[in-house]
Amino acid sequence: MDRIQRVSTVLAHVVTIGIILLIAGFSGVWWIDDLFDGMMAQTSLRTVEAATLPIYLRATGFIIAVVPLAIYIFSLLQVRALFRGYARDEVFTKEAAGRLRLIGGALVVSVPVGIVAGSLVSVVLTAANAVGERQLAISFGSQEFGALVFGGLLLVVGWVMGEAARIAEENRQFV
Amino acid sequence: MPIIVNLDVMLARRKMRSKELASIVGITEQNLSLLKSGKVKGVRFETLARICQALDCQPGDLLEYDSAGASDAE
Repeated sequence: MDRIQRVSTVLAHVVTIGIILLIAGFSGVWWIDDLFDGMMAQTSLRTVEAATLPIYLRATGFIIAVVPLAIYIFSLLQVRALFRGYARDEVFTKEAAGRLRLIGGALVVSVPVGIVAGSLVSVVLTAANAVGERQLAISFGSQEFGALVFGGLLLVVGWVMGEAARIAEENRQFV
Repeated sequence: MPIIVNLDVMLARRKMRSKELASIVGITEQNLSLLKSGKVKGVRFETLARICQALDCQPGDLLEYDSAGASDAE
């Protein structure tokens, strides 16, 4: 248990730093022109440039892209809360099991939301392009598949841990 | 609950305080209090053995089955 508490304490701090860097990085990539152009160059939206993209389209794309990010940050906050609970020796509890299910559910939900948001962003960012250069990009790859599988795994593990919490609670009532 | 715990009676006979018994047995005073009032789901054999050793008694001196309580529970 000591190992669980020590590692969980460290990981809770790592997640906190990760969330801050994620938000800062996301905002930077969208609003610092060089970083924005770099991001676009790595996607199929290579015709989109910060210098020529109307600010209202960039803002709309940003707002749409925030939605899957918000789901991801929500799941990271649950992960952090889970680690903090483990650090307090709250391992086999209903709350911990519930958090696992939330994380799994968020991962599963993030896949269709991410696909839809990504598609909408491609439409919005290329809306100002000339006819014939506008795009609708839809992607589903190994990353999405992995998120679905691991999200489902965490959901099931959350149910299993719920049972474990029930058994642990019953065990605590034995002297 | 058809099982009655007579731990209070044995503690009085042996003139021992709950706090002392809890310390000897290795359980918290809170758990011992729950045991005395019958508000636990069960007792481990190890705990029962330690209580019997501390109070120099038999399990039957501590636990009693009340058939009337059994029919109430049903």
